[in-house]
Amino acid sequence: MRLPLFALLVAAFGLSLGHDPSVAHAQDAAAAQADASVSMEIVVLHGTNDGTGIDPKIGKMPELAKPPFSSYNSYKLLDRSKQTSSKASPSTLKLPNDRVLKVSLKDVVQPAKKGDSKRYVISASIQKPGGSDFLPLLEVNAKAGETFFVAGQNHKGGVLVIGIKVNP
Amino acid sequence: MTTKMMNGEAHDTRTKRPPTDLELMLYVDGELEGDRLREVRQALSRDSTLRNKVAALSLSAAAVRENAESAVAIDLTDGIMARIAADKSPTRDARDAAPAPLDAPLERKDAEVKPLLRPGLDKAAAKSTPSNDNSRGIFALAAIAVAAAAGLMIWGRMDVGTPHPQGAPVAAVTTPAELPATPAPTTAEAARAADTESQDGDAEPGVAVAAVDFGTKIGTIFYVPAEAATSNHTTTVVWLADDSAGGEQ
Repeated sequence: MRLPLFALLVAAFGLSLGHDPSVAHAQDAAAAQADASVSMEIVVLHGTNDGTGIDPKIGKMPELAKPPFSSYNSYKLLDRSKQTSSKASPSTLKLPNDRVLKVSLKDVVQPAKKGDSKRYVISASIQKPGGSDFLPLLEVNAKAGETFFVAGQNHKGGVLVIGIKVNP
Repeated sequence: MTTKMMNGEAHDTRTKRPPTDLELMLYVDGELEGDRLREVRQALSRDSTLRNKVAALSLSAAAVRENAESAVAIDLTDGIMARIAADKSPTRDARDAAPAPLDAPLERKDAEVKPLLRPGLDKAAAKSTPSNDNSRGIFALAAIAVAAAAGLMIWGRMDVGTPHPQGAPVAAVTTPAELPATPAPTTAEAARAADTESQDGDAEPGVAVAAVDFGTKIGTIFYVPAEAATSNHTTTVVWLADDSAGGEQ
Protein backbone atom coordinates (compact mmCIF):
# COMPACT_ATOMS: atom_id res chain seq x y z
CA MET A 1 0.00 0.00 0.00
CA ARG A 2 2.77 2.40 0.86
CA LEU A 3 4.85 1.78 -2.22
CA PRO A 4 2.17 2.77 -4.78
CA LEU A 5 1.40 5.91 -2.81
CA PHE A 6 5.04 6.84 -2.69
CA ALA A 7 5.22 6.23 -6.43
CA LEU A 8 2.18 8.48 -6.84
CA LEU A 9 3.93 11.23 -4.91
CA VAL A 10 7.04 10.95 -7.00
CA ALA A 11 5.01 10.87 -10.21
CA ALA A 12 3.05 13.96 -9.22
CA PHE A 13 6.21 15.85 -8.43
CA GLY A 14 7.79 14.75 -11.66
CA LEU A 15 4.67 15.75 -13.56
CA SER A 16 4.82 19.20 -12.07
CA LEU A 17 8.43 19.56 -13.13
CA GLY A 18 8.06 17.94 -16.50
CA HIS A 19 5.08 19.96 -17.63
CA ASP A 20 5.94 23.22 -15.93
CA PRO A 21 5.55 25.87 -18.63
CA SER A 22 7.90 28.11 -16.70
CA VAL A 23 10.64 25.69 -17.75
CA ALA A 24 9.68 26.24 -21.37
CA HIS A 25 9.55 29.93 -20.67
CA ALA A 26 13.06 29.77 -19.25
CA GLN A 27 14.18 27.96 -22.38
CA ASP A 28 12.58 30.66 -24.51
CA ALA A 29 14.28 33.32 -22.47
CA ALA A 30 17.60 31.56 -22.91
CA ALA A 31 17.05 31.44 -26.64
CA ALA A 32 16.24 35.11 -26.63
CA GLN A 33 19.58 35.89 -25.09
CA ALA A 34 21.07 35.72 -28.56
CA ASP A 35 19.10 38.78 -29.69
CA ALA A 36 18.75 40.47 -26.33
CA SER A 37 19.43 43.83 -27.92
CA VAL A 38 16.78 45.92 -29.58
CA SER A 39 16.66 49.14 -31.55
CA MET A 40 14.05 51.65 -30.56
CA GLU A 41 12.86 54.94 -31.94
CA ILE A 42 11.93 57.59 -29.43
CA VAL A 43 10.06 60.72 -30.41
CA VAL A 44 9.46 63.65 -28.11
CA LEU A 45 6.53 65.90 -28.99
CA HIS A 46 5.34 69.09 -27.43
CA GLY A 47 1.59 69.39 -27.32
CA THR A 48 0.08 72.84 -27.01
CA ASN A 49 -3.09 74.66 -27.90
CA ASP A 50 -1.38 77.44 -29.83
CA GLY A 51 -3.24 76.55 -33.00
CA THR A 52 -0.20 75.84 -35.12
CA GLY A 53 -1.36 72.33 -35.92
CA ILE A 54 0.65 69.19 -36.17
CA ASP A 55 4.28 69.50 -37.15
CA PRO A 56 4.86 67.82 -40.54
CA LYS A 57 8.15 66.49 -39.23
CA ILE A 58 6.23 64.19 -36.96
CA GLY A 59 5.00 62.23 -39.93
CA LYS A 60 1.88 60.09 -40.11
CA MET A 61 0.51 59.81 -36.64
CA PRO A 62 -3.29 59.82 -36.74
CA GLU A 63 -3.52 59.04 -33.04
CA LEU A 64 -2.81 62.72 -32.32
CA ALA A 65 -6.25 63.62 -33.57
CA LYS A 66 -7.89 61.23 -31.15
CA PRO A 67 -8.33 61.43 -27.42
CA PRO A 68 -6.49 61.91 -25.23
CA PHE A 69 -4.08 63.63 -27.63
CA SER A 70 -6.85 65.74 -29.10
CA SER A 71 -6.85 67.76 -25.90
CA TYR A 72 -4.16 69.72 -27.67
CA ASN A 73 -4.56 71.01 -31.18
CA SER A 74 -0.87 71.53 -31.96
CA TYR A 75 2.06 69.16 -31.75
CA LYS A 76 5.65 70.00 -32.48
CA LEU A 77 8.48 67.53 -32.84
CA LEU A 78 11.18 68.28 -30.29
CA ASP A 79 13.37 65.25 -30.71
CA ARG A 80 13.59 62.02 -32.63
CA SER A 81 16.33 59.58 -31.78
CA LYS A 82 17.24 55.96 -32.22
CA GLN A 83 18.38 54.10 -29.21
CA THR A 84 19.76 50.63 -28.81
CA SER A 85 18.89 48.94 -25.59
CA SER A 86 19.77 45.61 -24.14
CA LYS A 87 19.32 43.80 -20.90
CA ALA A 88 22.74 44.79 -19.76
CA SER A 89 22.73 48.43 -20.87
CA PRO A 90 19.54 50.46 -20.77
CA SER A 91 19.38 53.53 -22.96
CA THR A 92 18.84 56.98 -21.51
CA LEU A 93 17.51 60.13 -23.09
CA LYS A 94 17.56 63.59 -21.60
CA LEU A 95 14.17 65.22 -22.03
CA PRO A 96 13.61 68.95 -22.73
CA ASN A 97 12.54 69.44 -19.12
CA ASP A 98 15.87 68.02 -17.93
CA ARG A 99 14.28 64.84 -16.76
CA VAL A 100 15.83 61.60 -17.90
CA LEU A 101 13.99 58.86 -19.70
CA LYS A 102 15.47 55.44 -19.14
CA VAL A 103 14.38 52.60 -21.42
CA SER A 104 15.61 49.06 -21.17
CA LEU A 105 14.86 45.75 -22.78
CA LYS A 106 13.89 43.26 -20.14
CA ASP A 107 12.97 40.22 -22.13
CA VAL A 108 12.17 38.86 -25.55
CA VAL A 109 9.16 36.56 -25.64
CA GLN A 110 9.11 34.07 -28.43
CA PRO A 111 5.76 33.65 -30.24
CA ALA A 112 3.44 31.04 -28.85
CA LYS A 113 2.08 30.17 -32.30
CA LYS A 114 3.88 29.78 -35.56
CA GLY A 115 3.52 32.87 -37.71
CA ASP A 116 3.20 35.26 -34.79
CA SER A 117 5.90 37.78 -34.17
CA LYS A 118 7.92 37.84 -31.01
CA ARG A 119 7.23 40.43 -28.37
CA TYR A 120 9.57 42.62 -26.43
CA VAL A 121 9.22 43.42 -22.78
CA ILE A 122 10.27 47.03 -22.44
CA SER A 123 10.73 48.86 -19.17
CA ALA A 124 10.62 52.64 -19.01
CA SER A 125 11.04 55.14 -16.22
CA ILE A 126 11.42 58.90 -15.94
CA GLN A 127 13.58 60.48 -13.30
CA LYS A 128 13.65 64.06 -12.15
CA PRO A 129 16.96 65.91 -12.00
CA GLY A 130 17.03 65.54 -8.24
CA GLY A 131 16.96 61.81 -8.56
CA SER A 132 13.37 61.21 -7.57
CA ASP A 133 11.08 59.36 -9.93
CA PHE A 134 8.40 61.02 -11.97
CA LEU A 135 7.40 57.66 -13.41
CA PRO A 136 8.94 54.92 -11.29
CA LEU A 137 8.08 52.04 -13.56
CA LEU A 138 6.26 51.24 -16.76
CA GLU A 139 6.66 47.82 -18.23
CA VAL A 140 5.01 46.93 -21.50
CA ASN A 141 4.87 43.95 -23.79
CA ALA A 142 5.14 45.25 -27.34
CA LYS A 143 5.45 43.90 -30.84
CA ALA A 144 8.00 45.37 -33.19
CA GLY A 145 6.60 48.40 -35.06
CA GLU A 146 4.05 49.24 -32.36
CA THR A 147 4.33 52.61 -30.62
CA PHE A 148 3.31 53.33 -27.08
CA PHE A 149 3.19 56.78 -25.50
CA VAL A 150 4.03 58.27 -22.16
CA ALA A 151 2.50 61.71 -21.80
CA GLY A 152 1.47 64.28 -19.27
CA GLN A 153 4.61 66.11 -18.21
CA ASN A 154 4.09 69.84 -18.09
CA HIS A 155 6.39 71.77 -20.39
CA LYS A 156 6.19 75.36 -21.56
CA GLY A 157 2.46 75.74 -21.38
CA GLY A 158 1.79 72.35 -22.82
CA VAL A 159 2.68 68.74 -22.29
CA LEU A 160 5.40 66.43 -23.42
CA VAL A 161 4.38 63.38 -25.34
CA ILE A 162 6.97 60.63 -25.66
CA GLY A 163 6.49 57.91 -28.21
CA ILE A 164 8.54 54.72 -28.01
CA LYS A 165 8.59 52.20 -30.83
CA VAL A 166 10.53 48.98 -31.15
CA ASN A 167 12.01 48.81 -34.60
CA PRO A 168 11.51 45.55 -36.46
CA MET B 1 66.59 -37.15 65.27
CA THR B 2 66.88 -39.04 61.98
CA THR B 3 64.72 -38.91 59.00
CA LYS B 4 63.50 -42.43 59.67
CA MET B 5 62.57 -41.57 63.20
CA MET B 6 60.89 -38.44 62.03
CA ASN B 7 58.82 -40.39 59.53
CA GLY B 8 57.79 -42.92 62.11
CA GLU B 9 56.94 -40.34 64.78
CA ALA B 10 55.10 -38.16 62.35
CA HIS B 11 52.57 -40.88 61.81
CA ASP B 12 52.23 -41.28 65.54
CA THR B 13 51.78 -37.56 66.11
CA ARG B 14 49.06 -37.38 63.48
CA THR B 15 47.17 -40.32 65.01
CA LYS B 16 47.54 -39.20 68.62
CA ARG B 17 46.88 -35.50 68.25
CA PRO B 18 44.41 -34.10 70.82
CA PRO B 19 40.79 -33.83 69.64
CA THR B 20 39.54 -30.46 68.63
CA ASP B 21 36.41 -28.83 70.00
CA LEU B 22 34.58 -29.73 66.83
CA GLU B 23 35.54 -33.36 67.21
CA LEU B 24 34.40 -33.23 70.82
CA MET B 25 31.02 -31.85 69.72
CA LEU B 26 30.75 -34.60 67.13
CA TYR B 27 31.64 -37.08 69.83
CA VAL B 28 28.92 -35.76 72.13
CA ASP B 29 26.38 -35.89 69.30
CA GLY B 30 27.45 -39.48 68.50
CA GLU B 31 28.59 -38.55 65.01
CA LEU B 32 32.25 -39.45 65.36
CA GLU B 33 33.20 -42.84 63.95
CA GLY B 34 36.09 -45.19 63.27
CA ASP B 35 39.67 -44.78 64.45
CA ARG B 36 39.13 -41.17 65.39
CA LEU B 37 36.38 -42.14 67.78
CA ARG B 38 38.75 -44.61 69.43
CA GLU B 39 41.52 -42.05 69.60
CA VAL B 40 39.17 -39.44 71.10
CA ARG B 41 38.10 -41.96 73.74
CA GLN B 42 41.72 -42.68 74.59
CA ALA B 43 42.41 -38.95 74.83
CA LEU B 44 39.41 -38.46 77.11
CA SER B 45 40.63 -41.25 79.35
CA ARG B 46 43.98 -39.55 79.72
CA ASP B 47 42.96 -35.87 79.85
CA SER B 48 40.56 -34.53 82.49
CA THR B 49 40.22 -31.18 80.70
CA LEU B 50 38.81 -32.91 77.70
CA ARG B 51 36.45 -34.78 79.91
CA ASN B 52 35.20 -31.55 81.43
CA LYS B 53 34.64 -30.11 77.96
CA VAL B 54 32.66 -33.15 76.92
CA ALA B 55 30.57 -32.88 80.07
CA ALA B 56 29.79 -29.23 79.38
CA LEU B 57 28.90 -29.96 75.80
CA SER B 58 26.65 -32.80 76.84
CA LEU B 59 24.90 -30.56 79.31
CA SER B 60 24.28 -27.78 76.86
CA ALA B 61 23.08 -30.24 74.23
CA ALA B 62 20.60 -31.66 76.65
CA ALA B 63 19.36 -28.19 77.52
CA VAL B 64 18.88 -27.28 73.85
CA ARG B 65 17.02 -30.47 73.17
CA GLU B 66 14.71 -29.88 76.10
CA ASN B 67 13.91 -26.27 75.03
CA ALA B 68 13.32 -27.32 71.44
CA GLU B 69 10.82 -29.92 72.45
CA SER B 70 8.95 -27.49 74.72
CA ALA B 71 8.78 -24.88 71.88
CA VAL B 72 7.27 -27.38 69.48
CA ALA B 73 4.62 -28.20 72.02
CA ILE B 74 3.23 -24.61 71.98
CA ASP B 75 0.19 -24.37 69.61
CA LEU B 76 -0.68 -20.80 68.52
CA THR B 77 -3.57 -21.76 66.24
CA ASP B 78 -6.26 -21.62 68.88
CA GLY B 79 -5.20 -18.20 70.07
CA ILE B 80 -5.12 -16.72 66.59
CA MET B 81 -8.50 -18.12 65.64
CA ALA B 82 -9.96 -16.87 68.88
CA ARG B 83 -8.74 -13.37 68.12
CA ILE B 84 -10.18 -13.48 64.58
CA ALA B 85 -13.50 -14.60 65.93
CA ALA B 86 -13.49 -11.75 68.39
CA ASP B 87 -12.81 -9.15 65.60
CA LYS B 88 -16.20 -7.53 64.65
CA SER B 89 -14.94 -4.67 62.43
CA PRO B 90 -17.02 -3.74 59.24
CA THR B 91 -14.08 -4.35 56.95
CA ARG B 92 -13.79 -7.91 58.05
CA ASP B 93 -17.59 -8.42 57.74
CA ALA B 94 -17.74 -7.07 54.18
CA ARG B 95 -14.78 -9.08 53.13
CA ASP B 96 -16.06 -12.29 54.65
CA ALA B 97 -19.79 -11.88 54.23
CA ALA B 98 -20.23 -13.07 50.60
CA PRO B 99 -17.09 -14.52 49.22
CA ALA B 100 -17.20 -14.73 45.41
CA PRO B 101 -16.87 -18.20 44.02
CA LEU B 102 -13.53 -18.80 42.39
CA ASP B 103 -15.00 -20.10 39.16
CA ALA B 104 -17.31 -17.04 38.64
CA PRO B 105 -16.13 -14.35 36.16
CA LEU B 106 -14.64 -11.34 37.86
CA GLU B 107 -16.36 -8.07 36.95
CA ARG B 108 -15.19 -4.67 38.14
CA LYS B 109 -17.34 -1.87 36.78
CA ASP B 110 -15.05 0.81 38.06
CA ALA B 111 -12.25 -0.61 35.97
CA GLU B 112 -14.16 -0.58 32.69
CA VAL B 113 -12.13 0.88 29.81
CA LYS B 114 -13.92 3.24 27.40
CA PRO B 115 -12.39 4.59 24.17
CA LEU B 116 -11.54 8.29 24.29
CA LEU B 117 -13.33 9.22 21.07
CA ARG B 118 -16.03 11.63 20.06
CA PRO B 119 -19.40 9.97 19.51
CA GLY B 120 -19.56 10.73 15.82
CA LEU B 121 -16.21 9.20 15.16
CA ASP B 122 -16.77 5.95 16.94
CA LYS B 123 -17.55 3.97 13.79
CA ALA B 124 -14.68 5.27 11.79
CA ALA B 125 -12.36 4.89 14.70
CA ALA B 126 -13.52 1.37 15.26
CA LYS B 127 -12.62 0.51 11.69
CA SER B 128 -9.29 2.24 11.79
CA THR B 129 -6.09 0.50 12.59
CA PRO B 130 -2.60 1.93 12.99
CA SER B 131 -1.76 0.97 9.43
CA ASN B 132 -4.86 2.79 8.21
CA ASP B 133 -3.79 5.92 10.08
CA ASN B 134 -0.49 5.91 8.21
CA SER B 135 -2.20 5.42 4.90
CA ARG B 136 -4.48 8.37 5.58
CA GLY B 137 -1.44 10.56 6.14
CA ILE B 138 0.16 9.35 2.94
CA PHE B 139 -3.10 9.97 1.07
CA ALA B 140 -3.11 13.52 2.38
CA LEU B 141 0.47 14.05 1.27
CA ALA B 142 -0.34 12.65 -2.16
CA ALA B 143 -3.31 14.98 -2.48
CA ILE B 144 -1.16 17.96 -1.51
CA ALA B 145 1.50 16.98 -4.03
CA VAL B 146 -1.05 16.62 -6.84
CA ALA B 147 -2.63 19.95 -5.93
CA ALA B 148 0.78 21.63 -5.90
CA ALA B 149 1.60 20.13 -9.29
CA ALA B 150 -1.66 21.37 -10.74
CA GLY B 151 -1.08 24.81 -9.25
CA LEU B 152 2.40 24.99 -10.71
CA MET B 153 1.10 24.02 -14.14
CA ILE B 154 -1.65 26.62 -14.08
CA TRP B 155 0.64 29.30 -12.73
CA GLY B 156 3.28 28.54 -15.31
CA ARG B 157 0.82 28.79 -18.17
CA MET B 158 -0.48 32.10 -16.93
CA ASP B 159 3.00 33.48 -16.54
CA VAL B 160 4.36 32.65 -20.00
CA GLY B 161 2.38 35.27 -21.88
CA THR B 162 3.06 38.31 -19.77
CA PRO B 163 6.09 38.09 -17.58
CA HIS B 164 6.14 40.90 -15.03
CA PRO B 165 7.62 41.48 -11.63
CA GLN B 166 5.65 40.28 -8.65
CA GLY B 167 3.82 42.84 -6.60
CA ALA B 168 3.91 45.64 -9.15
CA PRO B 169 0.61 47.49 -9.38
CA VAL B 170 -1.20 47.24 -12.66
CA ALA B 171 -3.32 50.18 -13.66
CA ALA B 172 -6.82 49.93 -15.02
CA VAL B 173 -7.15 49.69 -18.76
CA THR B 174 -9.28 52.45 -20.19
CA THR B 175 -10.09 53.94 -23.56
CA PRO B 176 -11.42 57.47 -24.01
CA ALA B 177 -14.68 57.82 -25.91
CA GLU B 178 -14.87 61.56 -26.05
CA LEU B 179 -12.62 64.52 -25.97
CA PRO B 180 -11.41 65.24 -22.46
CA ALA B 181 -12.32 68.65 -21.18
CA THR B 182 -8.92 69.15 -19.57
CA PRO B 183 -5.45 68.37 -20.87
CA ALA B 184 -5.07 65.61 -18.30
CA PRO B 185 -8.11 63.34 -18.50
CA THR B 186 -9.65 62.35 -15.21
CA THR B 187 -10.13 58.84 -13.97
CA ALA B 188 -13.92 59.18 -14.27
CA GLU B 189 -13.63 59.96 -17.94
CA ALA B 190 -11.34 57.04 -18.36
CA ALA B 191 -13.86 54.76 -16.71
CA ARG B 192 -16.58 56.07 -19.00
CA ALA B 193 -14.34 55.45 -21.93
CA ALA B 194 -13.75 51.93 -20.75
CA ASP B 195 -17.47 51.29 -20.80
CA THR B 196 -17.61 52.50 -24.37
CA GLU B 197 -14.82 50.21 -25.33
CA SER B 198 -16.58 47.26 -23.85
CA GLN B 199 -19.57 48.11 -26.03
CA ASP B 200 -17.47 48.42 -29.14
CA GLY B 201 -15.83 45.11 -28.57
CA ASP B 202 -12.35 44.10 -27.56
CA ALA B 203 -9.53 45.14 -29.83
CA GLU B 204 -6.16 43.56 -29.24
CA PRO B 205 -3.67 46.17 -28.07
CA GLY B 206 -0.41 46.23 -29.95
CA VAL B 207 1.28 47.11 -26.71
CA ALA B 208 0.09 45.56 -23.48
CA VAL B 209 0.94 47.13 -20.16
CA ALA B 210 2.47 44.46 -18.02
CA ALA B 211 3.15 46.58 -14.96
CA VAL B 212 3.07 50.22 -14.00
CA ASP B 213 3.96 52.17 -10.90
CA PHE B 214 2.75 55.75 -10.93
CA GLY B 215 4.38 56.50 -7.61
CA THR B 216 2.62 59.46 -6.02
CA LYS B 217 1.19 60.63 -9.33
CA ILE B 218 -2.23 60.02 -10.75
CA GLY B 219 -2.02 58.12 -13.96
CA THR B 220 -4.35 56.72 -16.54
CA ILE B 221 -3.83 54.20 -19.31
CA PHE B 222 -5.65 54.86 -22.57
CA TYR B 223 -6.08 52.59 -25.53
CA VAL B 224 -6.61 54.67 -28.65
CA PRO B 225 -8.88 52.82 -31.09
CA ALA B 226 -7.28 50.86 -33.86
CA GLU B 227 -8.77 52.95 -36.72
CA ALA B 228 -6.87 55.96 -35.43
CA ALA B 229 -3.55 54.20 -35.43
CA THR B 230 -1.16 53.54 -38.24
CA SER B 231 -1.07 49.91 -37.29
CA ASN B 232 -4.02 47.60 -37.03
CA HIS B 233 -3.84 47.59 -33.26
CA THR B 234 -4.90 50.01 -30.61
CA THR B 235 -2.32 52.42 -29.33
CA THR B 236 -1.42 52.40 -25.66
CA VAL B 237 -1.00 55.73 -23.93
CA VAL B 238 0.11 56.20 -20.34
CA TRP B 239 -0.88 59.64 -19.16
CA LEU B 240 0.36 61.05 -15.90
CA ALA B 241 -0.79 64.17 -14.09
CA ASP B 242 2.22 66.40 -13.58
CA ASP B 243 1.84 68.55 -10.49
CA SER B 244 5.01 70.53 -11.11
CA ALA B 245 4.60 74.26 -11.68
CA GLY B 246 4.44 74.45 -15.44
CA GLY B 247 7.23 72.01 -15.83
CA GLU B 248 9.18 74.64 -17.68
CA GLN B 249 12.90 74.27 -17.36
